[in-house]
Amino acid sequence: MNLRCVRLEKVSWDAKCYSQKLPKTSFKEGSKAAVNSRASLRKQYPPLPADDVNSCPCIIVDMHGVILAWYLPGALSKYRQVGLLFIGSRKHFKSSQGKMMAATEKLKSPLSKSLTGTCWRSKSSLFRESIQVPTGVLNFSSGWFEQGHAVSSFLYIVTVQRLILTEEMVQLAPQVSKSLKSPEASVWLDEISESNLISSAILGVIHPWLYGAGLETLTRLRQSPQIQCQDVLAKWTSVFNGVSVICNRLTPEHRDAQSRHHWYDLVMSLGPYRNSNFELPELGISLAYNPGTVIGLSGKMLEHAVPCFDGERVCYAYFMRDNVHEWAGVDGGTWMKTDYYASDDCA
Amino acid sequence: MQTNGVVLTPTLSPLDLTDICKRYLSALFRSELRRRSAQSMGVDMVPLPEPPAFLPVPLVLELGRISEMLADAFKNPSE
Repeated sequence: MNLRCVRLEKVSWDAKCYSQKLPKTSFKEGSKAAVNSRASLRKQYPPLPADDVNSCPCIIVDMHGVILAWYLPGALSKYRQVGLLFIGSRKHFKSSQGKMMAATEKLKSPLSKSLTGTCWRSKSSLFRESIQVPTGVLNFSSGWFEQGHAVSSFLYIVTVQRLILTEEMVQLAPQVSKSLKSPEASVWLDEISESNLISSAILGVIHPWLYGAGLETLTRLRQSPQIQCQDVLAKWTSVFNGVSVICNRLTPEHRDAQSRHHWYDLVMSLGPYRNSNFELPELGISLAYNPGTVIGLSGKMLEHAVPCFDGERVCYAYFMRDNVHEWAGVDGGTWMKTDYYASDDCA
Repeated sequence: MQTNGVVLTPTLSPLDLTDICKRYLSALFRSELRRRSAQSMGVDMVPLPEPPAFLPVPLVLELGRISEMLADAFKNPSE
């Protein structure tokens, strides 16, 4: 595919209607149900004609100007990330590596133990062997419900009437992720704080409401005595609920289920690699995914994938969790549209 | 308290700093949009917001680059 430069990618359909038509649960990849569901969606909501790879900054919008994604190639400075110059030069890499790469190296030990293979996100066959950048995936959160432990208060009351449950079996309030409690993670959290400021500031521009909701949720977590590890929370500078640090993984087509359709995730890609694309197959859009690229997108609505790269790649994927905001009682908010930036709200 | 090169004054928490960075980047972005609109009308005098005094220079420069990138993404020259 050749590179092209398009500044506005516009699909011909309504994102809100599209999001309502998405399957409530994800089908097993390759199953008949998955194939039928995808074909049905594409018929009703056709992708843009397959074209070359876009390499210019752009937004992706629906027919009403709802912004589905922001594409910011090269947004991160070399100071913060490692570019192509460093391939084949370990000495140069060591002396010039960016702040995020240096911080990620602190996670070498926990990353090496992270490939448990319980789901595709940590399946070892999707990860590339590496020399410089540690391989693996870790999730960090300032407050979340550990998988399988979330329960609403109502359900808890109903359930307790039937069974006697211990506090370990249910989780009534979000907690700091266990992954943040290691000494390595503590050092990493200090070193990544400035990059967390930057990702939060970008969210503040591309989705100011979600930024405010994230800030309010974090403040609520800090004010809640039932949340343990307040010392860790005090160092968390991101308005996102969490971040996945993904090293040297090929990412298959997927959606991120635990968010909301009108919210954005933010991905930052860095490292000594090249020849990578960020694919949005249901939109028919392919974006050049070079080191330093930042993409804000509706990860729950838009299927996305990173099927290839040459070299060693690290991705920081910042996310919000629906059930944590629900716990905090923060307003659900709305979709971002292009006309927001022409309004007085933006001034 | 020091977090990776960002020196905090005793009255500023890390979360205060997050909000200050967000406000500064938002102001830069708005200024960049106004500058581009003004340029298209032949005017070239849109002042940039002053950076907060305690932000380190590399961070201020990086936020400046990011604001231009955001404006590039939003403002379609071919429109």
